[in-house]
Amino acid sequence: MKRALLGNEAIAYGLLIANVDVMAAYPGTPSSEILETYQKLIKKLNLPAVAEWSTNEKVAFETAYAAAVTGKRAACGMKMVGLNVASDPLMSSAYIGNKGGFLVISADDPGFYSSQTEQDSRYFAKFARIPALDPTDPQDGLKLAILGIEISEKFEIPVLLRPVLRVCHGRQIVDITDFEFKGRKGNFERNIERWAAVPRVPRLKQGISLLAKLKEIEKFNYKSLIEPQLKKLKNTENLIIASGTSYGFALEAIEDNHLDIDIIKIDMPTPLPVNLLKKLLGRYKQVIVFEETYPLIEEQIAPVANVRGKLTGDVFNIDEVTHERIAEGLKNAGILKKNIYTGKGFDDIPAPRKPTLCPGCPHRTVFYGMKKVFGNNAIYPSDIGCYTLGLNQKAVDTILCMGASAGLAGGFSISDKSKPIIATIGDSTFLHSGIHPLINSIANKHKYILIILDNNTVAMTGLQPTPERTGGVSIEKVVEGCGVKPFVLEYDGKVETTVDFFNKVKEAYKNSDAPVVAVVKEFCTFDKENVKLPGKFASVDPQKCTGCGYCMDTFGCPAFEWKDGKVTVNKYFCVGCGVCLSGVCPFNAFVEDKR
Amino acid sequence: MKYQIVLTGVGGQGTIFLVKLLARCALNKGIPFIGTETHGMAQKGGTVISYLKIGSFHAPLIGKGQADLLIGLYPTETLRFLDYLKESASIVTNSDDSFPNLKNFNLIKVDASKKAVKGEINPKSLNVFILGVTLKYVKNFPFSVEEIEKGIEELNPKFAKANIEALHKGLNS
Ligand code: SF4
Ligand code: SF4
Repeated sequence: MKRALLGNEAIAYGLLIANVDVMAAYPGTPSSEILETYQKLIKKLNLPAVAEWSTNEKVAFETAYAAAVTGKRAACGMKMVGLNVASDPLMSSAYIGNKGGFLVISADDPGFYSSQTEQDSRYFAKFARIPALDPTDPQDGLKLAILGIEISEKFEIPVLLRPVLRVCHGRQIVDITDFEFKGRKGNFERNIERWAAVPRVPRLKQGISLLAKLKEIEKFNYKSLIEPQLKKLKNTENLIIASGTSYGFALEAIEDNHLDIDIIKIDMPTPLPVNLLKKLLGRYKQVIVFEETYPLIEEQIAPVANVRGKLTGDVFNIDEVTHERIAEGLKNAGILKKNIYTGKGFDDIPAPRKPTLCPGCPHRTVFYGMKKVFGNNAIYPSDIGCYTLGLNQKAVDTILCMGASAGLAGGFSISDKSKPIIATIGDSTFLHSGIHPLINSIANKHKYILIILDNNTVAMTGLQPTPERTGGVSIEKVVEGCGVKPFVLEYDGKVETTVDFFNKVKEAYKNSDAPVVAVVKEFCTFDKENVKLPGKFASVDPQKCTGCGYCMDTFGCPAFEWKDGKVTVNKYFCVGCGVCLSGVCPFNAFVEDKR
Repeated sequence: MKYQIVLTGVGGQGTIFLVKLLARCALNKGIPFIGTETHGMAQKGGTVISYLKIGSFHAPLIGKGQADLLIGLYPTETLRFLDYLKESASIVTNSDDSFPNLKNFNLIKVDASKKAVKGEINPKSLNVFILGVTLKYVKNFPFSVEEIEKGIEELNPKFAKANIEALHKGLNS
């Protein structure tokens, strides 16, 4: 069966073809659609399998890993910064291994499209001493998901599948083989020596056997994945070694430029059979390595061949792969005369369009009210989610990682006592890793305000449900259980109400010697079940607008535009939330636009 | 056949739907397709850009100077990516009269935002409307009206009627 699929969808099909019957994940761009699709498919096809959204990546890892310990085939999914959170169980599980196949899917984001960093998850695999697989495109994602499960089960070791953004959110016509899904029954067999990770004797044994496994996997890598490609080699002067998306780009560059050059694709960049490759690589005058994002392959083969790549400064070292960058690398290696990937841009390119909160998003009103009450002198730590975009309203000072707004707020409270500290965090993020720092702050009497922006969904990554929605978990009660009773605001789309609320919170903060918590119950404008937009559209009375720019700087609805020194509302973008009508302009220039 | 399209707009305008639709059409026609699109943070009201490559390709992005067509759902975003185009490529863009006259290209302009605000087209189908305009004016476009209609019906039967109507408004523009 052929289907036009997103890479993430193709990977989900791969898991089903491989008979994976448990998957757990935490959403994060670009990985989210893997579990989403897996969940949809098992429902549609009525398969005996379990799909779960977990509260964070460590939990997702542990849930799926336990299934693999009982002999089921399992997978967990996350983005690469999520793997940091799950790294603790990852390291131990590498030693202990698994019975059923266990695939850890970590999606990387070269080019920082939706992330704080550009990490290469393949290094985590090397660090943990497990194999990594690096797919080129959606079709390859499907293939390597299946292979990953097979290798994992064969060698009883977790396997990392590392698709990058352009695989996850690449779209391609994918061939899906017929499959018959048979779930397995899990059976936990007690084996304390193996499953209970205590030092030292059993661990040493496992550590040694892990190294032996890696040697075996190296051989497998050579025999099954590399050797079949050797027949096609023409023994040209130079050789390209590429993995992941870079392979596709290199192929196109070869075709577009009619180059006569050998190329090998590396499916498994670690463990790499360097010794077995030595003779082959030595035959070439030069070996050019293309990979995303760090020089993992290059570092390993540099000692045995004349290698050009990131380490030699010939190939790009940051940001995603493009045709231009491949061509540049080939030019630097003397293989290509000219970079043909050039075009002529527009001379007078419009000012960049920054990501912003959607028109009608309640977060904007909350940030506006918050800044109005707490002013410019306060410190505003924030977190990862749509509300990160409070940056535009200068209501966000720090973004570090999930849950860190409460953690940093605690730290600021003991190191800069002169300023009020107002931290913001979303509901999913709070449940992901904001609870622990809050508990810590309550125990240690850190004084700050934590505002939980509770729209009941993981909005940024595409509206995945939160534990509140699926399990009735109450954020207010969690907070209360930690030791403080939160203030609660039911968002009503009015600036006045929001400001009044924060004034109340401010009063309480003055007399408090512990964190003050506020929960604002709102909605996401994409959340069909909960959205409440009143259909009150706005326009600007040009007579009243002085062009002071206050609304732009403090509120900044994407429908606001500058025109001849005054603000206007772009009717095409206004969604009729009516908030700007309720007191954003000091001169009352916003008026209702009756449509 | 080898045909490369750059598709741009602002987050929330439905570029992904168009990518899905054209991928579907390629599937129906038995032609290979590879491409990639913007999701997540970068999509929130910001610039979105998708790449569609119809025919035998290996990489999801388009090289600079290689695209045959640019479809732009918002004028400012159209201007940002001209460097992806071949000489004398086609551009179909949503824009008012203030859009510059790009003489080196086959430029087709239509003020779809205005039509959406006036209620002449549904803002949610602006994407399909522009595709209709494209079908009308771009001669070597790889799919026919019938093929697109079939794709729309298969992809989202619930909104197929409204979308096909928008497509025809574009075709008759
Ligand atoms: S997706 Fe939802 S929560 Fe995120 S900015 Fe848009 S409206 Fe707000
Ligand atoms: S009513 Fe005002 S704030 Fe709301 S979307 Fe329209 S212009 Fe933006």
